[in-house]
Amino acid sequence: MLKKLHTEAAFTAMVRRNEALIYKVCLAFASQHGTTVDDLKQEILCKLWEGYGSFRHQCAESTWLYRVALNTALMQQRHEQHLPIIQPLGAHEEPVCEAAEESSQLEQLYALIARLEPEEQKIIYLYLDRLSGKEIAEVMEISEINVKVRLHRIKIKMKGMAQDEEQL
Amino acid sequence: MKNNFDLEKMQELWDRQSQSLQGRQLISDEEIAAALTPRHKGRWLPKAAAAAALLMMAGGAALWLSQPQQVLPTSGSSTMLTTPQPITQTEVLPASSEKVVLRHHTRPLLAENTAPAQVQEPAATNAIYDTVQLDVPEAAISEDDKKAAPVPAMIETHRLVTIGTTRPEAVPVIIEGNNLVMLSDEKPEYRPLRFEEVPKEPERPTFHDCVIEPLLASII
Repeated sequence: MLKKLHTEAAFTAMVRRNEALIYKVCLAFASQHGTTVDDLKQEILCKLWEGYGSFRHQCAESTWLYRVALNTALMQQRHEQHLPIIQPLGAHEEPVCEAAEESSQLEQLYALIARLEPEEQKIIYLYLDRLSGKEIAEVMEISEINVKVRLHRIKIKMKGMAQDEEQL
Repeated sequence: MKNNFDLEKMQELWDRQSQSLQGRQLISDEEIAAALTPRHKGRWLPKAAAAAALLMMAGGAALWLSQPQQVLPTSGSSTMLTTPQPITQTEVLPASSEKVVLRHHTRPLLAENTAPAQVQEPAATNAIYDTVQLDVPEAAISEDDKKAAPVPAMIETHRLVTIGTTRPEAVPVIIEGNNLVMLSDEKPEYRPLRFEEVPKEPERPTFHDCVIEPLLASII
């Protein structure tokens, strides 16, 4: 019983330390799909708690958190793909940027990311979150060189997608 | 953004978003507590899963209610003998308590020259019975069973009974160890007997078996 309480307290502290990390994943991945930020947040928290017992601290805490959060978000995305996107007027999630222009730009960026392959989505997300090539490699469990190559391709791909949208 | 798509600029935008989140409580205590609760207890169930669980509950309850009441004997011996052959030419007479008298209209059961060597109690086998008392609880015999056996029977006091077979006439039998020895005119036939434990409690499925278990299984 005491051990359980101790584990729960440690988990809660870990979530508190990294709540911005978790929340940003939710913002980026929930906005383009039928799920809400709150639903995705709850799903990620549940997955984190399910995996917390087997987390051996062999990698950085944030690395493990990114891994679980991104995988859960992408898994949820696959589940929600068959559902229509419901975005009632004025029902945007909390505006996190003060300027509406910035908010709109972020929405467009999320939309572009959503069109990438799941692995590419993870890499670009981590890149935008200012993780180094080495850190991205750890989260993705691939080599650093592989990260650089993929990142280069993703940038080209996203530019192409942005141009295509402009032409439309 | 589309005209001048620049990932570096996007990164700066991303940074500003991160800064705006600083110092805010983004995950409530309730949300963390809900994650710590086992899923089937406190977590929101998707509507489809909830509907399926309700359907399963309704189905399970209907199944449970449709189960016939089983009245099983609660007294008597712990072993029950099931005869593999139908009893014919038997008249079931109501008897007091839990005993039923099966009266066999038979000729003498054993001819003098057919007593097999395997019979362990020659004295008993030589006796001629036309009334055999079997320990058959009344409740265990349905109306159909009274007309056509097999009737679960625990042979208690008499070792020699006559049961019917597929042949039209009754055949004398002897219980010998775990075998039913059918003393036909030609050669004794040995049929293994099946002994079953009489369940102490009725085997009616419980509400837990029919409803709770499937519900938990569907959620987990």
